[in-house]
Parts: sequence; structure tokens; C-alpha cells
Amino acid sequence: MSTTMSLALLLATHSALAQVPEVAATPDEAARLRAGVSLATGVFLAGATPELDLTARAGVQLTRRWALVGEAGLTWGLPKETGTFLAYGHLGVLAEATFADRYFIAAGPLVAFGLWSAPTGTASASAAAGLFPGVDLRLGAGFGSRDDSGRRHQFTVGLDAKLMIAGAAVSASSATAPATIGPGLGTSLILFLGYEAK
Amino acid sequence: MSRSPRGLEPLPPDKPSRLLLGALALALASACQDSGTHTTRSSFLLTTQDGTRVAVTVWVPDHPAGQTIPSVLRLTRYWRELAVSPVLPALQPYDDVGPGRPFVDQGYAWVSVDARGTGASFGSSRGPWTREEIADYGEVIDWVIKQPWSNGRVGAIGVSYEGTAALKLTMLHHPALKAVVPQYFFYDPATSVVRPGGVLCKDFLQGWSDAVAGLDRNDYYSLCRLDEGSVTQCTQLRSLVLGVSPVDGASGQSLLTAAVAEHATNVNVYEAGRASTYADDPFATVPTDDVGPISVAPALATSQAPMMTWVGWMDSSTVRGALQAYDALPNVPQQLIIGSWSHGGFYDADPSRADDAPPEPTSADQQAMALAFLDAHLKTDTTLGRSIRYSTLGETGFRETTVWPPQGGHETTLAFDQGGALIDGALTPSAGTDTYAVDFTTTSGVLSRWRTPNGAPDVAYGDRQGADARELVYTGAALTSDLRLVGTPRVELALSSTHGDGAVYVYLEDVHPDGRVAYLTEGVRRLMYPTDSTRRADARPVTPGAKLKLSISLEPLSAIIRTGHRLRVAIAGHDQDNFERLPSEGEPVLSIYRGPDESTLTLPVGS
Repeated sequence: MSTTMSLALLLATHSALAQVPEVAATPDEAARLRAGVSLATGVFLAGATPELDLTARAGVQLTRRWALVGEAGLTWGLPKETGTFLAYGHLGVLAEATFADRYFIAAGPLVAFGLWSAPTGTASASAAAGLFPGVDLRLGAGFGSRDDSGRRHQFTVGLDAKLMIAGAAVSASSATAPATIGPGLGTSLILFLGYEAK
Repeated sequence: MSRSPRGLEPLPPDKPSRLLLGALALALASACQDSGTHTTRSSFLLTTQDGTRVAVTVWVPDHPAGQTIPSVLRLTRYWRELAVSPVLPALQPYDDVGPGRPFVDQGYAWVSVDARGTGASFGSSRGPWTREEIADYGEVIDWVIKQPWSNGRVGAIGVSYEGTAALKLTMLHHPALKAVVPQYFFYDPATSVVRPGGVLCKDFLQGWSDAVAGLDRNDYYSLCRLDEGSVTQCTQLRSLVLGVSPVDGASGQSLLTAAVAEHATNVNVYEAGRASTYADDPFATVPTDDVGPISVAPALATSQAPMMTWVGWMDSSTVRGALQAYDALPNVPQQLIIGSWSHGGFYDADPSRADDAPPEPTSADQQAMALAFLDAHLKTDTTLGRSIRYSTLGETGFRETTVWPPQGGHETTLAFDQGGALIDGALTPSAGTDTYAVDFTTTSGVLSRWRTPNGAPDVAYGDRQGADARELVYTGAALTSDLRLVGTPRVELALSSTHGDGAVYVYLEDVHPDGRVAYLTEGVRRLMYPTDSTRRADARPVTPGAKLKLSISLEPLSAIIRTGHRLRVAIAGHDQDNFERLPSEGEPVLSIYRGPDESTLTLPVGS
């Protein structure tokens, strides 16, 4: 059994246990446009920088379960010292699966553009600027109802993880060593709240 | 020799909105950042006669078809153009024309050149401003005036290294070179910044040497660290500033890599300076007649190119050099401007004003004045005459003269007397000696005139009461009227030392009625040089215990000392944050002689 299917079953079980209003079961509707927005907070792991994120998404709900969603967002950090900086915009295309009209999981490629820069120790730091290809993984649940057309109107909550690769990250490992330039990985972990019409 | 690519500061943590705007408008960012005249940029390698390929970037402003325009050169060893991450323009305003912006907006083509052995240029640097480097610039002028947009008239401008290069460029007598604006330049770098008074200015030289070595390796991170940026700041900046810009074309990056590899044989500036003990020693392999503009003074003196030169009272020994150039080049039209500034004119350095007081005029206004000078000579046939405009420490505004020191002044002499007194020279001081055990913790600080050329920080000596407590001081009576000093104070110092080598540092200070002590100027002298000349032939052996007579010219100044204040001479044997330790070991004791015909201070009193 695939991991995705296992996760789907787990989510479905949780759904059955949850004491929330049931959404009337309807057959899969025709494909329709969908849209949403989310606000998030979390941490960027290079330097453990607190961050905020605002993301809008739009796409096509292909079936009751499957959707293809494009998203565009801005993430900015709340740095604590001079030289620490975090800000990037990101664009992604995600395939999303919804289970029991409530739980969803999405994954897909992204490209980010911006700068991260932070200490990684008492005398070490890393920074990268430019375009960062990567992947985005979202996992969450929606709470709301379906309208007559079958569209779900939901407030959402969940987790989002972005892994971004910098081709020329700058790393300094001590106060005296020269900086090295090479591939670097930036990871963003955030908790989001949002709204989706899908 | 200020070096940092300007306009780039670590991003403060409170500017995330910059990216918000920038990311949203990314496609528009590059267009929005440039509010000035649109330019056409090109960058290429110019192969000079000896086969060295020199990197040149040219920005030509839009101009009416059929019209030709003048050009201004920037001759640099600090990277002619930065290569930056595309993120940078989204984060903060960034204009690739850089310091050339005011010029292109005024209709000049801006031509920025990497000196051979630096930046994206090939070759190796034997030292600063060598003949071959200057010859390269002549070939750049040849190229410029052949361009269809050129009207055949060229100027050159620059601060520090670049200003010195602009001055030395006039030795070529290139007919297209119509004017130069050397700013905060070194007419005689050997004595004005490498070894003032024959003492190695080690902190400046080591810092500058390390910095240019980093630049020549295309290593912006190291440069940032040398500028005392934190590891975090410098990693950030390095991620945004990729280094020197390669020339255009698909092979630009590989050409840059090859060029940087050739820089590996560049001279180590610090080692070369350390090894050249005497002012007439070669600088590594560069012979005496090729070090600094002073070494080619005869060629400079017959130049037809008018000059507007800028220097600051508190900028190392550049004023002394600029005044030397003014006198040594009597037939060259020169507009010399001396302000109360640190190196580069970015900071006011008048000790009578607050440390954060803005320069007068501002840097922008200084640049506007330079531009007006170039306009006069490159857009018209005007030739301005010779003049010196100078500010005065302790008051606002500028005065003007055509000779230095200004006419109408006179000299007055004060004598060192017992009890640390400084008395009228007409009186007879008591004979004797004052002993001073050299305190090697003495310093004039890290914001001194000797540090400012390296990155152009402010100059601020603060209250020198603490320093004076570790020095030997002679203080005059309270002034009964304002005293204007304009020129070069001179100290005749009779002394002996317990050691065969050493140095003296003579500070002229203004003691306020409330006890605060303000720095005015100073003179540095290695004991082996009886006069201001630090050439090999003028050195004399120092015999421990034997009496020496040193005639020490302090750095020139214009200052007003107010009624009720007192003048003070403070003598030290070391300046630990700025100069080499002399002698390198041992604890010398100096004996200062006072009495008739012994130690005196001669002041240039202005009208």
C-alpha cells in the first residue's frame, strides 16, 4: 500500500471520529476553479529565524478529490540582529488530494526568489540570494460546508514545509576562516491558517 | 585609500517591506530603480600595447543623434563595476552606474577602468600607479576619443587611489585630457601615508594591503571582514555582491577567472612598504622615479590639463602633499580646496564641532562643485586660474588665497620651559632637561588621521586629557585674544634617547578653559632624520645619550584658537594604534632639552 493511501486511510479514520457536522456526500462534480489564501507563521531553519508568510492560491479542482493549484506567496523574517535577513517570494504548483472533504495533502515544485541570511553559530553564518528551486509540502484540514454546486468553503489549518536549494550559498564557519561558496539548503516550517473555496 | 564599493550596507533587520515591494514588482524593479538618464552600457577588454587586457565599462547616456559628448574616466583598483545578485535591486535602490550617475545625468559618458592586475583586468600589479598602469589609461583615452559618440574631450575624477591616478595621468600630456579632479589624493604617498616622518604607518598599510589583496582575489567577503563587518553581515553582503563584474559576453566569467589568476603575482603592498625604509627606496620592484605623482613632478608640471584638487585637514598628510603639488606645478591651473574633512570628504573632522556634524559642504555639494569644474573645461573652453580655498578649524566658511601660506601672516615662536610651560620665545627659558620614559600604550586612537584613508572612516580624537597624561606636555598661557594659525607649525626639538632608534610624536593641542583638550595637528619623526627629508642620504645615526636636533614640520593647518584657550605641545614616543614600534624592543627614555636655542614651537600666525 502506498504511503499516500495509508495517510488517506488514517485521515479518513480521524474524520469518522470527529464530532463535526457531516458534509452531505455528493458525487464528484465537474472541474471548477478554486482559490484560497493563508497566513502563516513558523521558523526558517537557517538561523532559526521566525517568519511570517502570506500566500494566495488559485487552481482547478479537477475532481472532488484531486486538484492542481498554483500558489504565490511572500515570506519575511523577524530577524533579531543586524546581518540577519529573511525575505523571499515563492511560486509553486501543487497537486492536492482532499479526503473526506476535510483533510488535504499537497505537494509540488516551487521556485523562490529572495535572500536568507542568518548566523548559524556564535561565529558562523550562512546566506544565499537569488532563485531557489525546491519543493513544497502542505498538510492540513478544512472546516466548513459545501454549497449546492459542491464547492467547499472552508477555513483551513495545517503545516507547510518548503525545502529550497541555493546553488551558491555563502557559508562562514569561523571568525577567521574565509567564506565558502556552494550549494545550500533552506527549510521553512510554518503553521498556516487560511480560507479555501474549492 | 578608501576602497569599499560604496552604497552597500548590510540590510537592517527592519526592512522586510523592501522585499515585499520588490518581490511584488520584481519585473519592474530594475526599471524603477533608475530614475536618471537612460544609458547604454558595454564592458570589454581593451588590449594595450604590451598585450595586457584591461577591463573597461562604459555607460553612454542617451543623447540626440548626431551630437557627440565628453567623457569622464574613473581609474580604479577597487573594481570598476560590481556584479550583484538580481535580488539586490529588489531589496534596495541599486544603480549599476554607481558613482558615475551624476556624470551621465549631466551628459557625460562614464568610463570606468580596472587597473591592470586588479578587478577583471589581466596582468599583475607591481605597485600603485606604475608607469605601465598610467600608460594603460592613456590607451583608454585613445579608445574613447575614437568612439562615434565622443567629442574628443576627456576628464578624469576620483577619490584617493583613483584621484592619485587621475593626477598622475596628466604626465602623459594626452591632448584629449582637458581636466582632472583628484580628490583626497596622495602626491607623495611614501611620506604622506606609508612612512610619515620615516615611521611605518603600519595599521593603515597592513589594512589596505590586506584589503586590496582580497579585492584582487575577487573576494568580497574578506574585504567586508576587514572592514569589521560581522560574519553574519559579511555572509549576507557576499550573497548579494558577487564580486567584480566580468566583461560582457558568454566568456566573461571564464575571462574573469583567468584574469584573477594572474593577480596572484601582485606585489604585497605591506611587505613592499615595510621594506622601503627610506623615502627614496624602491617600492618592491618599482623604482624611485615611479612611485607616486611626486616622482614624475617635471612631467606633471608641463601638463596643460587644469586640476581641481580636494583634500582634508584631517586626512593623513594629504594637505601637505597637495600644497607641495600646488607649488611644484606652478604653471598648471589648479583649484585647490582644503576642508575640515576626513579622507574622502564624507565626514566633518573639525574637533570644535560635534563628532556627527555633517561636512561643509556636503559630499553631494562637493561632487556638484567638481562637476561644475568639469563642465567648464569639457563643455566649454574656460580655464580657471590658480587658487586655494581653505576652511578653518573652529569657524565656518572658506577663505581664498593664491599663495601658501596666505600673505599677511607672520611667525611667532614659543619656547619650552621648566614646569611644562610654553613661553614667549622672546623670554629666556630656564636651561635643563625633562625626561620622558616612552609609554608604548600611548595612542592617538583608531579614528585618527592615519586610519581615515583606509576605508574613509571619520576622524575624531575626542578629549585628549587622557592621552596627555601619558605624554610630556608643555602648555602656554591663556590667550588674551583669538589666535589664527594658518600654515605649517614647526617644532625644533632638542633631545637625546637612551636607544639608537626611536620616534617622536609631537601634537599641537587646544586646551579649553574647562580643561578639555582638542587635537589640532601633529608631526611624526623617526629620530634618525634631523629634517623633514626621510631620504637615505639625509638619515643620521642615533647615538644613545647623544643630543639630537630635530626640525619637525607638523601637518599644515588653519585653525582659530579662542580667547582664554591655551596652546599645548604634547610629546609621545609611540602611537600604538597607528605606527610601528620604534625601537622594536626596549624601553627608551627621552630627554627633552629646554633653554636658549633648545626646544621651541614656531607658529604660523595668520591675519
